[in-house]
Amino acid sequence: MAFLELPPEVHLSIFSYLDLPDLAVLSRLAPRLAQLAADPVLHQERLRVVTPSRVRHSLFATSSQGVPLRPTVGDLVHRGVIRGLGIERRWRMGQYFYSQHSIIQYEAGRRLSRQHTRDILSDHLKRRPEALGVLLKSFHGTYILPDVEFATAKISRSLLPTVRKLKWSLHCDQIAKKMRESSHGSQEGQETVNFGVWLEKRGRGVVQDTERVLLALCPGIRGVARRYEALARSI
Amino acid sequence: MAAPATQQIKIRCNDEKEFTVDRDVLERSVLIKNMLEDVTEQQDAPIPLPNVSGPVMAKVLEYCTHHRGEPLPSADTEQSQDETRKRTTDISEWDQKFITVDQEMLFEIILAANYLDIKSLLDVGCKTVANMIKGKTPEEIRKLFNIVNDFTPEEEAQIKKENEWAEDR
Repeated sequence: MAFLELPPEVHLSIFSYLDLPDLAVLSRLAPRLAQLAADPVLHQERLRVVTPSRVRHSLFATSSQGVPLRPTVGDLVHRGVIRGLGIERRWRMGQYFYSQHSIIQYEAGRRLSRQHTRDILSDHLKRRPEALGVLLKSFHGTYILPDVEFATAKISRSLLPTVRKLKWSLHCDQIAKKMRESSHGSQEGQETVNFGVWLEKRGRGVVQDTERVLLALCPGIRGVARRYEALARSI
Repeated sequence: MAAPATQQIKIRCNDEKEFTVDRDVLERSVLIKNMLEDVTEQQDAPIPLPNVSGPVMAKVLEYCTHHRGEPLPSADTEQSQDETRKRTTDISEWDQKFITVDQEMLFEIILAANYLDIKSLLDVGCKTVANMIKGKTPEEIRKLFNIVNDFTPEEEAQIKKENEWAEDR
């Protein structure tokens, strides 16, 4: 028993569950199937029953929450699928909302507004005070990392980057040391009371959940703690 | 009261295998139902079913037994026909399990359902075959059903040309 040996009425019954693309594929398999796939009654039935239900589904079907599946013009405009000038307004007023002309106008309008933004931005950039860049540089040099090596003639120019790097890491170490000392509570009573200490001592009444506050202040604290714990275990 | 419902009917398949089945189970088959209605007097001789083999009949009877008591679809229920047409892939869970057999058996069951005139079983079989065909390329279907290509190249080109409009998904 093979597929081709089935009687024609069974073939037609099977075909009645298929749509055009599959019928086209079937008609390429064997002359007999081609003949059956072109059966007028089959296609009449398909047009009478299958097609209307499909059209009804794609036009008026609703999801399980009762929301229509087919997007309205407004939805399409919001999603940017339909573009054009004043589509939503025209659609709500029941006018024609789509024409080649309106699309061209819409695109031109967008291009103009982009051009306008670009002009404003470049204008502002051009008028930026020249001195600001110099000011920032001198601020950095004076307060953050004084570039004394550059001024002295004792250091070779080629060594400058290395020296700067070294200085920067020394600076970092200093800051870290300061932080550690303050967090051990050695500076208690002084004006620069560490926030963590304050939280431990007096903050309890004010802030209930110290853990969460700490987390908010330094989000990486958990990872750091875990790393040190792992380190301790491995030793 | 319940006497006609529990009446036992004997049937004989083409491989001499005999089944004794409740009448209401057998009446899922319109062919046998009409036969039984035509024969008024009580007969002990088994009904011969020359087109169905024993294993297939066993399968068909399994289906009929599971669905016994369900209303038989009448020819004029347009609405229900529309409903079944609409959702091809909808096969109930039990039917799905029932119909997962090898291809040979599937076609035999379809043939038997066609011969015995059991509409719901025929529908289940046809839907299953349709689902097997859906969305496949000609080569895949050839492989699936073992169909040799007996078109001449010209014929095939002609058919392909005729159906180009439909294949445009």
